[in-house]
Amino acid sequence: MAQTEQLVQLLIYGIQLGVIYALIALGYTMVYGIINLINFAHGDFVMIGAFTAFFAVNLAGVGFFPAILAAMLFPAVLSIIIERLAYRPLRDKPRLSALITAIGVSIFLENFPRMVPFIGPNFKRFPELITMRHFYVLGQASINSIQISNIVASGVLLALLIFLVQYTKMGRAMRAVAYNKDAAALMGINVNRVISLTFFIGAALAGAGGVLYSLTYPMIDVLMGGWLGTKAFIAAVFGGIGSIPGAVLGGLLMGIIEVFATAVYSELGYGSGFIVLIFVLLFRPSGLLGKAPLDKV
Amino acid sequence: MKGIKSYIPALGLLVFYLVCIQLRQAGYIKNYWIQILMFALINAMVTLGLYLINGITGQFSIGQAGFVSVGAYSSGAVTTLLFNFSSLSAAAKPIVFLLSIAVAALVSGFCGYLIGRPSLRLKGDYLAIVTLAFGEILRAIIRCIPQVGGPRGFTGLPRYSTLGWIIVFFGLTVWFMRNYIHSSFGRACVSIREDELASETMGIDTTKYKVQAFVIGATMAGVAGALLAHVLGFLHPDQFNYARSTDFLVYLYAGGAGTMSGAIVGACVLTVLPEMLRFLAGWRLVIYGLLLVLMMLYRPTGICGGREFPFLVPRLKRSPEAIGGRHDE
Repeated sequence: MAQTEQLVQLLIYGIQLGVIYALIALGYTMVYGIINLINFAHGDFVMIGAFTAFFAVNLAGVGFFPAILAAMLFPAVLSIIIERLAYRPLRDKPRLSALITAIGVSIFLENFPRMVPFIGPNFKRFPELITMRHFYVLGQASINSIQISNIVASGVLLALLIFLVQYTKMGRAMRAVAYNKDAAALMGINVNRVISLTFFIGAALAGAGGVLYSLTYPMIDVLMGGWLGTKAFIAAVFGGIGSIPGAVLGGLLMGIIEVFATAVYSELGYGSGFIVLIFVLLFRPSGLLGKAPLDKV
Repeated sequence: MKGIKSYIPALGLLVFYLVCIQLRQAGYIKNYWIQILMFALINAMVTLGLYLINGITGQFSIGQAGFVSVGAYSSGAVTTLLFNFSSLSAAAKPIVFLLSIAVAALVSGFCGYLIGRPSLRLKGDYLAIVTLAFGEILRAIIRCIPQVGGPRGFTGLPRYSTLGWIIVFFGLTVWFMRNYIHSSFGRACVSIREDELASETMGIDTTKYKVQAFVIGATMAGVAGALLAHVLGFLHPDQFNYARSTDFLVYLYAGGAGTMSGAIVGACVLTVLPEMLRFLAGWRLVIYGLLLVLMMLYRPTGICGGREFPFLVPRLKRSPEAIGGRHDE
């Protein structure tokens, strides 16, 4: 393959991975933006989404759209329950208590399905929901149907999210709560409901990300959410945590950098994102698109 | 007055050691439990280092396992690659072992310095992410060094650490931490935690103390790592991943981040607890996760609840408010 073709090919792989990171990173960034909590359990919703789709397809025999819808709804409802039981009582406590709770929730979510007999610790093969077809874009460089559906589905979800946050009443309430919780409450916004909604949306996006990821790499297990979540989290920080465009940009860049670094030297792939992150933070301490926090004296 | 009383904690450790050894020889406790105890004390040392960074200075590190890995690998490199440990004479072994621990302390202390520098510009969560990233980068680097086994793991380390060595280093760590926290250095760190701007206004060199906290915390983790390497006899980069770092964080906050006792008790209880739950097989981690959540909900100050063992507070200021207190942000 010629040089440009190879570049285009790598770029396609990078974007495909990047949109998934972006979807997962959005959940981190939205939850952080609204209650300043690094939700360590967020990555596990990716896994739960993937398994929901897995069972929906294998037991009910549904197609791509119902599967992804189920994979969004189930983790979303679960995350509302978890927020209600585990995070809400701690909202006015020291922030780190909630963080440790999130770690506890994550340990629980990873190990409970492992012990349930029909899930178990082994890898499972994710069903092929989209028939694989290749389209040549530039010489030898090709894009396949899974990559297209990943990118299109993420694009649609992102557009929906932006519409929701920017143009609806609930979205305005979310932005108000993120800006100042107490003032928003005084203006008659039901802060609890807004926070629940944020968790709902975040987990739904993570669930969708889980399905898209499993389409690309069709082996799923209960621990997949852990490191996928970590990378998405890094992507969120990279772009500026709390900022929605930042999470998208961070996710895309992270995916592209990772793919290119792996192409250069395979062991580099894993560490590359972190190295870039440190350099970005050294020069822009609050991420690419993040706002510098105002110090109140 | 100053005489015997100040030696009680050290004597207590000695008695504890002798009791353990006697019980083992009499066959009441198995070697397995001695090993768990060793892990507990090593974890307590790492957690104490983390306590200095997170609990006292109010910074936020979630990359502690990275420092442990640096210590473990560098000491392992000294004993295994530099000297051929098993061929040394019995008299030279302790010297080489101590040398390897010193090297581990230096190297990981230097890593702590490297990570402490950016903390001057970064705050809160961003700092946390950099420490996380740094730990992962260290792991990626170790994977690329074939001399220490790369991704296959570092094998053939001498299993030289004994309960005695670990208790000595644990005692030294506790003694050092106690004196540090209650010195002017420690008070400066607390002031940074409470209000960085105000302490800077009072003429405290916040930069210096933050870097110092990172260096000391990393050094402790490195020494603990060196001891760990020579308990296990085998190292793998994935032992020190980011999940391991969160373990130390959990030890600290579950024990109670306000006090040294919390760090020690948290590490010991949470190292032993999963072992006690071992009869439940895989369910133990489910229960562990649930317990963690329930504890944070119903006892957010941790196991120790902000209280300090009396011998960990110098006599002049044995009041809980002096150093403990709650801290937020």
